Amino acid sequence: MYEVDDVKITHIEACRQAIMEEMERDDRIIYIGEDVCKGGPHGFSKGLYEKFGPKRVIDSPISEIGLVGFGIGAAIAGLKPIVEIMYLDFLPLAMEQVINHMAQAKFLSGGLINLPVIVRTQYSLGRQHGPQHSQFFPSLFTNIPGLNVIITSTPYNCKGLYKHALRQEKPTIIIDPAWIYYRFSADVPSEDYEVEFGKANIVNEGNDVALITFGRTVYESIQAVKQLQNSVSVLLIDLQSLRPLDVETVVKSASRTGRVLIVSEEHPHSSVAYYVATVIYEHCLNKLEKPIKILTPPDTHIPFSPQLEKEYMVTASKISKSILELIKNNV
Amino acid sequence: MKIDLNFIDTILIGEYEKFSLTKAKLKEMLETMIIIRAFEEKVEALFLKEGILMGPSHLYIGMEAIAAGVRAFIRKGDLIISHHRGHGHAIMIGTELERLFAELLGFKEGNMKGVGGSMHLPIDPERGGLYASAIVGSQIPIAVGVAYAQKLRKTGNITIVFFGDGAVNTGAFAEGVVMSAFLKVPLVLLCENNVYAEFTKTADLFEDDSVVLQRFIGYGIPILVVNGNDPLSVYKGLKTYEEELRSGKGPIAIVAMTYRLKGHGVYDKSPYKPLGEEDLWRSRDPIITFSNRLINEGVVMAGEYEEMLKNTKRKIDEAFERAKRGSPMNIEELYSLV
Repeated sequence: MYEVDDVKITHIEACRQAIMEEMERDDRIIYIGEDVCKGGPHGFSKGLYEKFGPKRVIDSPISEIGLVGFGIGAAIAGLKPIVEIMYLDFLPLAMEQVINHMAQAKFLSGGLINLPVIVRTQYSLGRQHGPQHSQFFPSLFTNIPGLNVIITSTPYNCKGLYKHALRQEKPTIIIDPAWIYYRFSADVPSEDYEVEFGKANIVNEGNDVALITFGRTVYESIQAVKQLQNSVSVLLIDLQSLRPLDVETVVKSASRTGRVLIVSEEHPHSSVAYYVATVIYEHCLNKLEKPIKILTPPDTHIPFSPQLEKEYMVTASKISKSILELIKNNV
Repeated sequence: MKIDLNFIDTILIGEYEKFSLTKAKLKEMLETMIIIRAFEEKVEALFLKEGILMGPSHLYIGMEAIAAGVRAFIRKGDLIISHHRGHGHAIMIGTELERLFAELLGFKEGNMKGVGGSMHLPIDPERGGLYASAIVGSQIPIAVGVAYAQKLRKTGNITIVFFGDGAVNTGAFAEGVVMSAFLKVPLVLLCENNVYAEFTKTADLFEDDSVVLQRFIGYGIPILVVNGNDPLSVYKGLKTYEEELRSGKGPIAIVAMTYRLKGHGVYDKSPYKPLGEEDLWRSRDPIITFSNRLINEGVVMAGEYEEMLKNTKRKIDEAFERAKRGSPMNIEELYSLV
C-alpha cells in the first residue's frame, strides 16, 4: 500500500513524530502539561523537552483550569499551544474553560478572536485504571458548537490528524485510546501528510453491513472483519472526526448496505453512537433493511476488576456476533 | 517565603515630574473618568427610563479611577483582559463610543457585531482589549497565557487582568495565580475590590475585612494595595513596579480599594447595603475628589471642568443617536462564527 521506505511504528510513536515535526516547522507551537518534560506517564512527550527546551515544553503544576485557560490565552495572543491533559477523566476539571471560553471566544467576539488551541488527552479503558481513570465521554464535547472533536485510532490517522490540528485555526480536542499506544503498529508514510477533519476513513470496503465506529474499537473491528472475511463483506468506517461529522460518508455507507452496526465504547445514553444513528434515520430511513444495531458497553461506570472490565468492554468477538445477528434472518 | 506587601498612597504635586506626569496627562485621567461616568449614566437611563437596552449590565460607576490610572500607564502593545463589569475598560482602551452603544443594542455595527454584548464589551484586539469573561474569575488563567506569549516575544509589553473581589474565591483565581507565579509572566493581577460580590459583602462571608488581600498570600508575588478611588495611587503602584514587570521578573498583584456605587446589575437597587454606606463612599467619589484636586492645583480651571462635563454628555448622546440607526446581523451569519 505504501512506498518501500515506510516503516512500522507504534501509535504513540506516530503521534510523537507528528508533534515533533510540526514543532520544528512552526515555532509558535508550545507544549504544556503535567510531567511532560519527563515524557509523562505514557511516554507520549518523550524527547520533546530535550529537543525544544524549557520555553516551548513546560511542566505544569496540577492545575487543569490553569492549564486549559493558559492554552486559550496563549492561542488568543498568537501562539499555537498544545495542552496535555493526562487523562480524559481530568478534563472535566476545566470544563468551564472548554465550554465558555475555548468553544465561544471566536463567537462572542463576533469573529475577532482566533484560538488555535489543541487540548490533547487519552482514555485508558482496558488498562485496569478503575472508574476515574478509564472513561470515554466524547459526547460531552461534541454537544458544543465551536470545537473540533477528534479521536485517533491508527498510527496512520493519528500522525495525520495531529498534523492537521496544528495547521488549522480552530480549537480542537484530540483523544487517543491509550490501550493501542504500544499495541497498534503499522506502516506510516515517511513523506509529509495530513488527515483532514470532517472526513471519515473507509478502513475496509464491503457491501453486506456498514460497521461505523471510532477510537479503540476500530482496532477490535479490524479483527472482527478479519474473522468474518470469508462469510460477510463488511464496510468498515472509522469516523475519526466526531465534530465536524462526515455525514455524507455515514449516509452513503448506510444507504449502500441497508444494514448498519454502530460500535462505540461510550456510555450509551446521549452518546455519539446514538446521534449517528439518528443522522442515518433522518437521511435514509427508507434505505434501511433492518433497524440499526448499536453495540456499546453496559450503561454503568467502568469497574476496576480486570475480569469485569474485560466483560464490560467491546471486543472483536462481540462485534462479530452483532454482525452475524444483522445478517441472520435475511429478508 | 517572604511576604512582599506595600501600601501605595497618592502622588504629591511635587512628585509629578518624577512620575512623568504632565498637565495633559493629568487632564486625560480626569477626562477618562468623566467619559466612563457619562457613558454609564446614559446606559442606566437607557435601561431604566427608556427601556431600550435589555439583559444584564454591570455598571462601573464609582470605580472610574482604576481605569484612568491604568490608561495613563499602559503603552502600545500592552494588553488588557477584562470581565463582566467592563464598560469602563472598553472606554479606557478607546473603542469608539458609537460601536460600544451599537454592541449594547445588539447591532452588527457593534465592536463584536452584537454577539457578545455588555459582559464582553472591552474586546477590541486592535486596541489591546484581548478578552473579557462573563464567568467570574475565568479570565485569570487565560490572561496568564496571553502574558506568556508576550514573555516569549521579549517586547517588554505586559498584560493587565481585571477581576473583582468576588473572583478571589474561585478555583480559576487560585490556579491562574499559581500559573502566573511559576511561569513568571509579565502580568498585573488587578483586583478591583469594590466590596460586593453580587449582593454579598466578600468580607462578611469570612467575618474578616482583610480576606481579599489574604487570598494573594502564598504565591510569592509582590502585593500592592492602592487607593482605587485615586487614579494617581493606581498609576503610582504600576509605575513603582514597572521596571520589574517589563523586564520579566514575574507578575504582581494590585488590590485597588474602591466601591460599587450602584447595584450588581443595572436593575439592582442594593437594598442589602447598610444605611449610610453609599453616602460615605459618595463623599469619596473619585471624579469629584480628583477634579477638586486638579482645580486646586491649577491644572484644570473650574470653568474648563464644567465645559468637559457638558461636552462629554453631548458626545455620548450623539454617539448613541448614531448607534441607534444600526441593525442586527442576519442569523445565518452566526454559522461563520463557530
